[in-house]
Amino acid sequence: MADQEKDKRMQIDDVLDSLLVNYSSTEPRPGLETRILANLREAEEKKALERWWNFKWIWAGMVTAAIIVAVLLIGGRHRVAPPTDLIVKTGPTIPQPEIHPNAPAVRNETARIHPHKSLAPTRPQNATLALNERPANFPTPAPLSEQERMMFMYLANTPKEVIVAQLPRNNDQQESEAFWADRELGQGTRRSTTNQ
Amino acid sequence: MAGQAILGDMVLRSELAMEAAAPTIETLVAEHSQMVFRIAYSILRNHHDAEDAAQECFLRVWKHKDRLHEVSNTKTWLARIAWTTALDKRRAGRKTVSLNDGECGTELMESLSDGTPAADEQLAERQNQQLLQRLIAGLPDDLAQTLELSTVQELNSAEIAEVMKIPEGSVRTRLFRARKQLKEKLAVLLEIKKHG
Repeated sequence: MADQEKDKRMQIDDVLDSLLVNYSSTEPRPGLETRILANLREAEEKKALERWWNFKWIWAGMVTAAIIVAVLLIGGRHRVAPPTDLIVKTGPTIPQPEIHPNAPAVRNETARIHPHKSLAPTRPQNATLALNERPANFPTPAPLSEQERMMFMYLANTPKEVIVAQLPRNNDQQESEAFWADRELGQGTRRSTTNQ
Repeated sequence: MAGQAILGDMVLRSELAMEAAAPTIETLVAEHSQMVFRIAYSILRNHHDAEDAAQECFLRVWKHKDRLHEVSNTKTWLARIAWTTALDKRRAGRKTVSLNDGECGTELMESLSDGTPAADEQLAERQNQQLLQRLIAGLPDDLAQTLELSTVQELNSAEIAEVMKIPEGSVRTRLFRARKQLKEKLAVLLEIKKHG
């Protein structure tokens, strides 16, 4: 009975050992190393490609950012000058007499009309408005200076012959008069000799 | 000056020695791919899955290839990676294995018959392995995993202990318990065969 039990236990041990020995004694398919190395190479290439793509995206991002900044700068430059300054700047190009009483009023009026408009539309409007406001007598006469006033008074109070006599004569006129005088004199003597 | 040169030479030599000692990934594949495959097969019990696990194991190693010189025992380090990779893979696609003793007993009776023809030996062996697989699957996880690693020819109990990060004594204890439980189940099956 005990021998049977022992034999049974030994038989079970043998069966278990034989089963366990072969449990993992399998061989992989031929070329396992090659396949593993090929897979590793593929992974390395994939990683290199991913790295390159990352750099490419960085460069693309930088270029896009640069383009956006450039567009913003160019677009902002067109909108820099406020309209009131432009009107003040364009004012001096249109002749405005300082003594004209309406001149400051006109300038203020244009400033009020176009408070927030950009340069392109306001420039012709300002020019038209300035032309409409131009005085009828242009250029506007300025008051006489002291010297001019004294000269006009002298002319008014002095006889015309005196003034003409005081006019300076140049040499040509004198020579011309002398020539004709001599000529008239010569003709007179010749006429008298022929009459004789 | 001469002392500095000697010191620099020594440092250079030690660095070169370290570089020479550090195994390349190709060396690891050539030396340990079979072991890695068998460890994976002992857990997954499928050639295709075992090869996938081996590929994944070496990919994990490749990701840490710059630190290979820090590894003291490449064999157990690689075995641990293979073991954890295979366990992860098994958890990902785990199927519940039901152990039906009656069905196993029938298979065992067929396979343990003395007069098996030589042509049927391969089929019988496969059936025996399937039976053992089911018996091991019925064990607690810690016993089953220890037993599975012990079936890999390349690993001794000390290395299994290092792979599982447990003392070597615990490995021996677990193996003893696992065998005991398996023998009890086999005894039941043999009893069924005898009385059946």
